[in-house]
Amino acid sequence: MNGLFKDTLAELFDKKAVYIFLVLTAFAVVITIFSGSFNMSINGSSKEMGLEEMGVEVGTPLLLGVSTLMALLTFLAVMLSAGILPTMFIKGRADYFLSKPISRTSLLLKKFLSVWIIYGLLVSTCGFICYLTGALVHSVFSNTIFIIIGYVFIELFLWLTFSFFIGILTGKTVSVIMSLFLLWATQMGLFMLFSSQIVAQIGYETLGKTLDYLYYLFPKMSELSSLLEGVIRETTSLNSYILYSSVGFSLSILFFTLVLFKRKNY
Amino acid sequence: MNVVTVSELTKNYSTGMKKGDFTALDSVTLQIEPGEIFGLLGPNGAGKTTLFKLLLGISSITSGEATLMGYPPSNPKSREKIGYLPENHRFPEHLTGLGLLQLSGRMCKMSEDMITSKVSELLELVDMSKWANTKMKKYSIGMLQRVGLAQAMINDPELLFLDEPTDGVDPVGRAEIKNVMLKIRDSGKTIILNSHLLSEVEMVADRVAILQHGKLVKIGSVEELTNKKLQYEVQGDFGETLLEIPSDVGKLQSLSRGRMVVELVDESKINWVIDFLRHKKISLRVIKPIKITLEQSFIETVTHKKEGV
Repeated sequence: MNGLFKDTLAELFDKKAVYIFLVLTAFAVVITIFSGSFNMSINGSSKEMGLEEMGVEVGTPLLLGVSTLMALLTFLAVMLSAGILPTMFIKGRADYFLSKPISRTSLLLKKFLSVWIIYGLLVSTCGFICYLTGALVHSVFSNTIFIIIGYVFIELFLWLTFSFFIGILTGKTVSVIMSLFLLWATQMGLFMLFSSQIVAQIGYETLGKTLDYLYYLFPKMSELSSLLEGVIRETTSLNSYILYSSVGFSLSILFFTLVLFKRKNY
Repeated sequence: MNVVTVSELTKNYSTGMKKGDFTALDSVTLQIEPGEIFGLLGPNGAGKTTLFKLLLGISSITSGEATLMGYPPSNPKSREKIGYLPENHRFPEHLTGLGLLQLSGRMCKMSEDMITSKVSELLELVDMSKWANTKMKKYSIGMLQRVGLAQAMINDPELLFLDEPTDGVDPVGRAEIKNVMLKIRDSGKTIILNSHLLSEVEMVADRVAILQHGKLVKIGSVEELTNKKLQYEVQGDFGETLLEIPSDVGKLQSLSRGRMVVELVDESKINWVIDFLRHKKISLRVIKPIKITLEQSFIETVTHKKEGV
């Protein structure tokens, strides 16, 4: 684990990707600091007023802003990590990794965990820095930030399992990126179609049922995002079904990836 | 115990729609003993790298059996005391030479202290200490080859697979790599060497196998492969003496004032030739079997097989 963890870290710094995360975080921190106060003109005199003084509740918008930033950083992390596995097993490099005294299952799982933990920590740290700045400026702090961080790890897990599966199946970065887009489009489509009225309007019972089953089988990243927004706004509680079915899908994909990898010739 | 045992090993690949339509390795059987340098020769596409990949568990076996250090290749334990320098390797470019060696050590489950001492020793050995902290994307082919050799030796392997180890290395580097190989062999370890430079193989290898179209066509010691069968050169003062060799002894191939070449029906007949020449009062200076180079032997074997001889 130690070796592959350090290797993944070195790869991240080599890509200079970490700087994109830092720039976006710095930008978000600046916005967080300066969006907290406004220059108000009252009876001809100008006065700097904080949001709190204006009676605006800052906690929820801050959490929503940070969760949006983290969603953007997660998207970046998924895109940046799309090429990790295909490049690890290109001709001439696969031989190096596969000739070491480590089982294929262990090799893949260790690489997966390294990518998941490193990119997850990177996104969470950037988001947490931004939130902490806002919390200090506005003197608000909510434990919901830890739910958001947990969600980042879950979402990253869902995307990475699919990314690793396509990476092993095709061995091409471009195929991984295309498949990730297709997965996003499919789950969005199913999310929107999973409205009983739409399913009823289709009229075809079999098609309706197929869409229904597909909806239950597929991971539900978009729905999880909506769910998170509801949790932040305190309008909904965490729906375990959406969470468990998505994680279940990803665990199955991870299992198939391992089976495929064990059988593959390089 | 043999370090490598291969029995009726076959590998089929799919090249098109049909499954397993190309045979890369066809019923190969061989054993490699500890402490020898074993050369693997063959034209391009003969199956040499495929054999390496099957033994190292990189590709799966279609049929037959193989063991590496007593374990089947699918068992990671078989690779615990193995080092491998792949052909046309592309090590992770984001790493430095030092980073590659550290990663290799960690993947071989070595302790950090052990890695630190071994890394500096190996970088010194392959003359790469100066470049240890430079990213590998800046290395020349020769430098990559040197650091590749070092990573293969990080876990102090009992068996080293070297696929074209001197590819792109300058003559001085080649001589150094040759010396490293001999040192490894002298320490009782085994090397399986795949190289197109047959003169190099001839200099270091103890035994050689020739593969062609996936089949093992010849195996033996370098001595056996380079000896022109039963032909002897005799140097002495033959003067104008007329010599006749009986057909049950052999055949006179050529004769000049100072040199004669004779082909014998069997090896023991050389004693008859010596007695005969001494009886004729011919003073002898040298008697030696006629040797050909490994390259000549290889070309002979490969072209004969092509012609179906």
